[in-house]
Amino acid sequence: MKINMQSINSVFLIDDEPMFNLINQKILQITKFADNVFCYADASIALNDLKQMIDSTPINFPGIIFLDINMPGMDGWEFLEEFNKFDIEIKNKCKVYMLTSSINPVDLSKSNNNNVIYGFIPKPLSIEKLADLGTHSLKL
Amino acid sequence: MPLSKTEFKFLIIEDNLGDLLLIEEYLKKNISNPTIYHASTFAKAVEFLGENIELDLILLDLTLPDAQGEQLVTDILNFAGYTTTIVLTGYLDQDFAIKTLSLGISDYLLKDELNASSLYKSIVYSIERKRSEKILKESNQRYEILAQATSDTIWDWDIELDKMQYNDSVNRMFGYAESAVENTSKWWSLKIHPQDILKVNNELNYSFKQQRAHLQLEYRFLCADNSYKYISDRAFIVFDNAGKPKRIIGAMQDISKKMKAEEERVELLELLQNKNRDLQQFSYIVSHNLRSHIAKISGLAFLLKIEPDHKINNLSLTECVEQEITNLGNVVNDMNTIISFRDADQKQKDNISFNTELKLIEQVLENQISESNATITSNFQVKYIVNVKSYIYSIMFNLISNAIKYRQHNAPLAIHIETKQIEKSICLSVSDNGLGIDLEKDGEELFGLYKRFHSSDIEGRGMGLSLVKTQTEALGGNIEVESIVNKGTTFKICLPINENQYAIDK
Repeated sequence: MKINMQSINSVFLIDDEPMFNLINQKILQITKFADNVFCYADASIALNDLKQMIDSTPINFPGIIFLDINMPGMDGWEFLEEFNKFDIEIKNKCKVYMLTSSINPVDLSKSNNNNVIYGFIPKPLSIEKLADLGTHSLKL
Repeated sequence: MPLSKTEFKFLIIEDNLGDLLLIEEYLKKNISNPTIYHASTFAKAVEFLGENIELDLILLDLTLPDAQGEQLVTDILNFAGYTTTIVLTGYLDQDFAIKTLSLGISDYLLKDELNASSLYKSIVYSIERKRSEKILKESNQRYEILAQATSDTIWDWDIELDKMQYNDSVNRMFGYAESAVENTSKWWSLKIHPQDILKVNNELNYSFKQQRAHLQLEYRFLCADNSYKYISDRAFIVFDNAGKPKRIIGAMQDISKKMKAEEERVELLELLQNKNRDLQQFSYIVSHNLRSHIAKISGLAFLLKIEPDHKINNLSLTECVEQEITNLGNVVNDMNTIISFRDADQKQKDNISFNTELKLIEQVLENQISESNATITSNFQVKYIVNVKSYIYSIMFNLISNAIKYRQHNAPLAIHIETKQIEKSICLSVSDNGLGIDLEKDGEELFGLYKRFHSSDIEGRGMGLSLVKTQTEALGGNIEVESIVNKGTTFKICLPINENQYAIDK
C-alpha cells in the first residue's frame, strides 16, 4: 500500500530534548502537516508504541518519523536497528528522517548507508524544510 | 731473491782495514756497482750520517776505537733511523746478539763465518724485512693515531688468545675506570644488554661461518652507572688461510642520542596525532552543541512570528529564547573550561590532603547527600598528594556528585573513596552501589563531552566525566572504570607520583 503524503495520519517526533519536540510539534500543527503528532523523549518508548500499534491500531502507524541521533539511552542508530526488524510492508508505510544538529562526518556517512533513512534534516524543522519534502499542502 | 734496485749505497763502519777490504770484496761479488762509504770511527760515522745521504744498509763493527758494544749500537741506530743495520763482529756473544736484535739491528754476523753469499743473503733478507716492518709500523702508528683521535671505542679481539684490547674511549664512553676494563671477550659480552646478546652472537657466528669480513652490530652496552647506551659497532674480521676467524677489530659508536631523538620523534608524533584527533572530536561536539541551541532559538523565533502568545512549559517564548541564549553562553564557557584544563604543566602544585578535600566536597554537596541519604566512607592509605589542587578537587567532586546523581532509588546509597600507592602511581578510586553503566554499549563514549547515558529526568549536561578524564590526562594519569548495571560503578584514577611527593611522605 502506498502512502499518500497529503493524507498523513500521524507523525512521530523522537528527540530527548523536550523543547525541540515542542517547537517541531508546533510547526507541524501550524502547517497541518499531519492529523496527529506524537512526541517522545525516549526512543525505546516510541519503539514500544510502534510495536503495539502494529498489533492493535495499524491505522495510527506513523507515515513519517523524525528521529534525533544523539540521545541518552537508546540513540537514533539503535532505534533504526530495531525498526529494521519490522516487516517490509510496515516499513514501507513509514519514512524515517534523521533530525540532527550534528556535522560529524561519521554520522552523515552512517545515514547515507542506511536504506531505511529517507533524509537528513538539520534542526529545527521549518516550513521550507517541510515543503522540501514535497509532500503536503500548506494551509496557514 | 735478487735485489730489485740497481744502485745500492752502503756505509761500512769498521776500524780494521783488512776487514773493510774483505767486506767490500764480498759485496761487489753479488751486487753490481755498489756505492760504498766508509767510516773508521764512531765520530766519523755520526758525521757521515748527519749528511743525510740516503743509505740502503749500514754494516757496523762492534768494537771501534771511540765506541763499543750496546751503547754504540743504540747511538748508531738513533742516527740511522729506518736504515737497515747489520752488526759484524769477531766474537759470538749469544745473549748480546739477541739483545741487539731487540734494539733494532736486523742481523748479527760473525766475521769468521762470513762469506760473499751469506753476507748477500743476510743483506737481502734484512732489507726486505726492514721494508715490511716499516710498512707495518707505519700502519700501526696510523691505527694508534686513529684510535686516539676518534671518540669511538676501538676494540681489538685476538680470538685465539681471547685477548681484547680497547682504546681510552672505553673509559670515557662508558665511565669505567681503567682497572675495571678486563681484557677478555667475556667482559665485553657480559656488558651487552641481555635482550641483545643473542642477536650479537648470532650475527658474529653467521659472519664467521660465511667468512664475511665486515660486520655491523647494534646493541645496548652497560655503563659503569648501570645505564645502557645504544651502540653501533662496525667490525672487521680477520680470517686465517683455513678460514678460521683470528681477530676482530671493531669501532663502537654511541648512538644513544640518535636513538633517543628517534624515540622522542615517534612519541611526539603520536602525541600530536592524538591531540589532533581529540581537537577534531572536540570541534564536532562543540559545533553540534552550538548548533543545537541555535536551532532551538531559530525554532522559537519562528513560533514568535506566528503565535507570539504560545507558551512552552509555562514559559513565554521570549523567556524560552532567553534561556536558550544562556545555554548557548554556557556551551561557549564549557569550551573555555575544557581547553584551559588540557595543559596542567604550568599549574602550581600543592600538597593536598585527600581528607580535607573530601570534607570540603561533603559540605558543598550537603543537601544532595542528605536528600539521597548517602553514606560516604573513605580509606586514604595515601593521605597526601602533591598536585594541582583545583584538578584533584574537580575530579573528586565530579565522581562523588555523579555517584549521588545516578543512584538507585530502592536502596540506600553507599559511596566509598580510597587511595593507595600502586608502583609509581597514586590511585584514587570512587565506588558506588548506583545505577551502573552498560560499558559494552556506552563504554566507548563514556567520557565524551555532552554524552549522557541515563534518562533525561536526571539533571546534567554531560560534562562531568569528560572533565574528569581531561583533567586526569592533563596530570599525566589515566582513568579506568568498572561497572555493572544496577550494581554499581568504580572509577579508578591513577596519577604519577610527583617528584616532591617523597619529601612529604618523610
